[in-house]
Amino acid sequence: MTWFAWRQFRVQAFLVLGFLIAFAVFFAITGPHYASLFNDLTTCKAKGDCNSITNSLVNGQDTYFPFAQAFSLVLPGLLGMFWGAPLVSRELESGTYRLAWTQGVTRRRWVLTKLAVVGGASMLAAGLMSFMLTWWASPIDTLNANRFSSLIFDTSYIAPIGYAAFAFALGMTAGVLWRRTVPAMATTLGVYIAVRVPFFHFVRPHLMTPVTRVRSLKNVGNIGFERTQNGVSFVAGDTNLRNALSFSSSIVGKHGGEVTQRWLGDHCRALLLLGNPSPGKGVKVTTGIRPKAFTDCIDKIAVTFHQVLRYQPANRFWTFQWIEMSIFIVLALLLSAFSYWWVRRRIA
Amino acid sequence: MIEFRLNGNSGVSPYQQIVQQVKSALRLGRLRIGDQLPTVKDVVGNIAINPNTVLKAYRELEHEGLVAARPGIGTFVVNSFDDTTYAAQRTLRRSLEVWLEKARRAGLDDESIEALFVDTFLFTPKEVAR
Amino acid sequence: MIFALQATDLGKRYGRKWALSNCTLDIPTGHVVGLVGPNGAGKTTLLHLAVGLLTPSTGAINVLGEGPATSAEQLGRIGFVAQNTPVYESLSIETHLKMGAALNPKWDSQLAHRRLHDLGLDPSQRAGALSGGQRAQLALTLAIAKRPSLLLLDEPVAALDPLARREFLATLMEVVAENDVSVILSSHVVADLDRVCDYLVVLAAARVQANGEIEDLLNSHHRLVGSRREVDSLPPSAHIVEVSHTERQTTVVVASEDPILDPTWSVEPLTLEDLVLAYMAQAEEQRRELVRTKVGES
Repeated sequence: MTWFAWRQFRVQAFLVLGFLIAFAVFFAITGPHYASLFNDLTTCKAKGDCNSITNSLVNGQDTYFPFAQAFSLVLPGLLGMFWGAPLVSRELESGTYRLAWTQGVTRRRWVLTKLAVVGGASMLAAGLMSFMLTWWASPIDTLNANRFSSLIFDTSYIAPIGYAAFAFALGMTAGVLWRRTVPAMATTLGVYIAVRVPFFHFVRPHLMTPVTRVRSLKNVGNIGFERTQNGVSFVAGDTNLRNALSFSSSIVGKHGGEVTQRWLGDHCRALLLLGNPSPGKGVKVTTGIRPKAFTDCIDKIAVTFHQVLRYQPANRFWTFQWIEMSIFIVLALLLSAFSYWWVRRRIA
Repeated sequence: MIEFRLNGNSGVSPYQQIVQQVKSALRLGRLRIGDQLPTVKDVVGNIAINPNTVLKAYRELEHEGLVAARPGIGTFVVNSFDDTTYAAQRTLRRSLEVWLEKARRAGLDDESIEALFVDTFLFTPKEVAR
Repeated sequence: MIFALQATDLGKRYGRKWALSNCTLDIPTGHVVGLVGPNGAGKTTLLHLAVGLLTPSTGAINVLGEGPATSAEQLGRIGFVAQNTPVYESLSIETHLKMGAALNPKWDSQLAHRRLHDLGLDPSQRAGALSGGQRAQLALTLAIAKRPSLLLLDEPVAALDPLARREFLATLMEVVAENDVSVILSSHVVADLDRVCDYLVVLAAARVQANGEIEDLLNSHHRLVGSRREVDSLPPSAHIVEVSHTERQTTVVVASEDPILDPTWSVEPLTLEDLVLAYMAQAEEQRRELVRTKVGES
C-alpha cells in the first residue's frame, strides 16, 4: 500500500520537488556570495567602508528575498490544497474508491498509509524549504535583526513544518466531508488563512507572558512632537528591539498618567510657541537640529514619564518556534483522527 | 472440431441444443469415433453459456453411451449411430432434394414447406414395419 | 455449508427511503447467480453491502461465511467489479496490475499478463484511453487475478456494445469453467443473464421477489390462460405472481409446486424473461398502488 500511495502521489510530488530544486539551486548559487559579504562586515569597520557592503547585501537579498519568502509562506497552504484536499475526495468523486476499498487492504490501512505518506511528505517539503530559506537569508536577517517579526518567523526553521501538517490535515478533512475536490480545495485555503492570520496577530504574542521593560526616555531615540488639531502631542517612535516580538510600547507616568495636552501646556510653553506648522504636520526631531525648547521639554518629560515596553525577547525565539509547531501539529493530529474516523465509519 | 451454435429463440433449452448438435454431427459423419469433443472451456469461450450447461449435455451423451470422459484429457466419442445409415442417408438426401424442388415449383414458400414437413413428420407413426 | 452470500433481514436506509429492505437470501456456492431487477431496485446496494462499501441499517450479511471487509484476507477472497468499471484513468494498465500485486495477498501475475496478452491490450497504455469494453476486461482481469472464491459484478455489460458484451461474458464463463469460483452478477436486462446464470435473484422495489435455481424456477412457474374470470379458483398452494385481464381473457402467472389440473386453464411454459417480467410488473404495480393510496390520503 505504501508503494501505491506513493505511486498515486508521484506527479504532484515531483511538481513541488521541482520548485524546491529550483530554489535550492538558486540558493546554492547566490547564498555563499551573500554569506561572504556578511563576513566582510566584521572587518570593514576598521576600513570604514561598511556602507557599500551593507547596501549591496541589502539590495541584493532584498530583491529576491520577498519572492522566496512568499513561496515559503504560501507553501503550506498550497500543499494542503493540492496534496491534502484531493487525497480522499478524488477517489470518492471519481468512484475509484470502489476499486481501492475492495482490494486486499482494509480501509483502515488504506487511510493510514495515505495519511502517513502524503502528510509526511508535506511536512518534509515545508521543512526543506524553510531551512533552505533560513540559511540563505541569514545575512540579511541578522542585519535587519527582525527574526521574530511575523513574516520572518513564519518562514523560519520548524514552524512551517507545523503549518504544513495542519494544512494537509485540513485538506484531507475537507475532502472527506465534501467528497468533492474543488469545494474541498477552496475550503482548505479559506480555513487555513482564517486560522493562521488571526493566530499570529492575536495568539502568538500571548503564548508566553511578555517581558516588561522600563526605559528612561533619555535613552530612547526617535521621539518627538506632532502637531494635531488640538495642539501638540508627544510621540515615541517604534522602538527597535533587536530580534524581539514587540507586544506593546507606551509612555506612562512613573505614577501613572499620560503626556496629555494639558501637561504639555503646563510644562512646555516654549515648545508650543515654536513656529506654527500647519495642523497634522510633525515637528520631528532630527539629529543636529534640536531647538532648545525641544530638548528642555523632553528633559522635563523624562523626569516624570518613562517608556514601558512589553515584548517577547529574542532568546524566546526557539521556544516560540517549538510551541507554535506543536500547536499546529496537535491540530493536525486531531483533524487527522477525525477524518480517519469519518472515512472508516461514516462513509458507508 | 465441432463448433456449437445456440439459437436463443428456438424454444429448445441450450443443453438440449448441444446434445442435438452432437448427435446430428454424429449422424452426418462430421464426428467420428475417437474424435474429441471441445473442452467445456472452449465451448463457453465461444458461446457464452454456463459451463454447467455444457457439462450436463456431455453427461447426457455419456449416459446414452455415445461419449466417454477421460479425466484430465477430455471427452471423446466412443460410439456412433449405425454406420449402415450413412449409405441410406445419401439416397434419402437426394430424394429430399427432388421433393423440395417439386414443392417450390408448386408455388409453396419456405414457411409452407417447413410447416408441411413438420406436420407430416409429427403425425406419422414412428414405428416402421421392418 | 458455506454460502456464497447469506443475508438475514438485511436492509439499508438513506434518510427515510429504504434502498433495500427485508432481504433474506441463502445463495449457495458453485453457481453463477443472476441478480436482476429494474434500476433503483437495490442491486447495487446489495452488492455494495456484500463487499463492505456500505454498512447495513438493519439485519446482517455474510459473504463466504464472514462479515464483509473484515480483514485483508477476506477482501482478498472476493473479486469485485463496480458499476461502470472504475479505473485510475491516469495510470497505465501495467500500474494497475502492480497495484493488484501490491494490495492483494494472493495475486497471480502470470494469469493477469496472459489475459492482457490474449485480449491484445498494451500494458503501457493509460487506462483512460481504453474503450468501454477494454476497461471492463481490465477490471475483470484485476478481479480474477486475485484468485477469488467469489466474483461480484455490478452491471458489468450494461454500457458495452454487443460484441464487447459477448466477449466479456464468454471470458467470464471461461473463468468459471477453469476455476472453483462462484459468481454473482447483476443486470437490468434479463437477456444478458439468461444463458450464463443457473441461479436467479429477482430484486424489485427494494425487496427480493423471487430466488432459486433457474431450472427449479422454470419448472414451478406457469402461465395460465383462460376465459375471463376471478382467480380464486386456483388451488391454495398456487402463488399468484401476476394477473392480467382483457375483455375475454385472463392470464395468470403462478408459482405452484402442484400441477394445475383445472382443464379450463390452458397451461403454457414460461421463459425466464417472462418470469422475471411478471415479478417486476407485480412489484411495480404494488408500488404504484402505494403511491395512489398515499396521494389519495393527502
